[in-house]
Amino acid sequence: MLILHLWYYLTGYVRLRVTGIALEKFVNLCISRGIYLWGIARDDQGILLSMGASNFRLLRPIARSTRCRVRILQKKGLPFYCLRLRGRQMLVLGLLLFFTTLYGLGYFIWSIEVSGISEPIQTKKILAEIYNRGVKIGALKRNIDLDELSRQIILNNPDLAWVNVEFRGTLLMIHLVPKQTPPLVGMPCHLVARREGIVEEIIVLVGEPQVGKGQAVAKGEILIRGTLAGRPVAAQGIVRALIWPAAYGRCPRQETERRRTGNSHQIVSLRMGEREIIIRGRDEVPFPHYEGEEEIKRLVFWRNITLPVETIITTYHEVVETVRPIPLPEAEKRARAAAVARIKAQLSPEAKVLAEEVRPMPPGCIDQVQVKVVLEVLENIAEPRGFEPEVTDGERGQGFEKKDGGQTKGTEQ
Amino acid sequence: MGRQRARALRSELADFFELPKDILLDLPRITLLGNLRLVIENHRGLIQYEPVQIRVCLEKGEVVLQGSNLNISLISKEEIVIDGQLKGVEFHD
Repeated sequence: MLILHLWYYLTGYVRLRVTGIALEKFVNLCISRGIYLWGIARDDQGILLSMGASNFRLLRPIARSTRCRVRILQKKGLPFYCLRLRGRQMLVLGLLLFFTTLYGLGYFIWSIEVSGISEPIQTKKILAEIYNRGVKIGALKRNIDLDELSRQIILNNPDLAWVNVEFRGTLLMIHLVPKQTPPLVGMPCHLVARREGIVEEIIVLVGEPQVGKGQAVAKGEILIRGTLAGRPVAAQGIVRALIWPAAYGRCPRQETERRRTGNSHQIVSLRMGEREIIIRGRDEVPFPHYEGEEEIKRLVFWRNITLPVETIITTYHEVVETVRPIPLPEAEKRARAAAVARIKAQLSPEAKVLAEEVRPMPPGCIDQVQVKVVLEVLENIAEPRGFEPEVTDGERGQGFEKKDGGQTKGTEQ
Repeated sequence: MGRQRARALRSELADFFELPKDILLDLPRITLLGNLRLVIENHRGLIQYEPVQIRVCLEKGEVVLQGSNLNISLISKEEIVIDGQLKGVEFHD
């Protein structure tokens, strides 16, 4: 039956109201003439029914013989719809124009996204590079050879390991994977002292030791020379030394505790560019002490284009502040812990703390405790430093870039 | 009388050969879907149509349908489909 209804939708059908006395006879005559009827329902005036539009002209003799009156209520289906559209040609034209424009605009690049690198400078560099090759917003998609483009990017940027370029609709996605450069090994280097201390243990793997146990070394002093029988080598080894890092720690004698009372005040406002309009809630906060929480809601218009209108819901929670004094031992303990934490942040994880000395210091202001903590630590203080083979020892190597933590990372000159 | 005999013969024939009687005897095939829908195949037209009662002419006699909100969903030469709340189906000679 679905196929029949589909057929009548395509060829058009009419909904009729038939009024008269011999309505059953009218229906019987219709079906005996081969007219298919559906949706027959009674109402107070007569019966409503639907039939194919092409059968309508057959009704006249039937209606006359049964003395029924036939009125068309609705003309439905595709032909009548098209007929109605004929009077609104501009609408059809607009619709057509809309779809062709949409289709046509799909041939162009509308956004370019670079992912995989965190540095915006490099992203900009790559964007500039591909811009020079004609890959820019508004360029025709078919003119861009993706394989060629990814090859070019990887050739121009030796620090990239892998490049994937693909289209996601009108979005050009460039995914980059930077190379993980291993620390340079094999380049001639000395091992020098990262900080001053007294050498406790020296294990030489490659190179010539310059210091002995119990010797005090200054920062930057060469511990293991990177030469072997007059030839430059990469010195390797471990030099553990006693060092005495120190730091200060402070702790106030009282602390304020902020506790939420449970009362809150909410302000809803709308921000459009620079202007801010409060929609709900009073502007002033009715609490002496409070904490604010801001929740910003943006309407995402399309992809990552947001409308320049934001809804800001600010909730102010009332707090009570209670000042609590901290007892002296507790304050000293906290100051010490802060100092130790500060020292340990600079030490390597394998450093061994041998002793600890805490000295109370005169505080900067009255309600404060200050301590100085000195640790005795056994740590590897050796740090590689490259040198030019021609240059004699003691000269600072040029080919290396120092990074924190004693690791070296090579860059090309 | 001759027509009656021919009919009896055809009924026996249908029994003997296990043929469907609705074809040989021109009987209506009436299908009920709960009390919501009734389909009559092989009918001879409407006699009366009211929302509470529909009478359909058959080859022999008529069928009277009682109910409420009765609509004729479709009607053609072969079949008639009635939807609504059916309460009763009766056969009259």
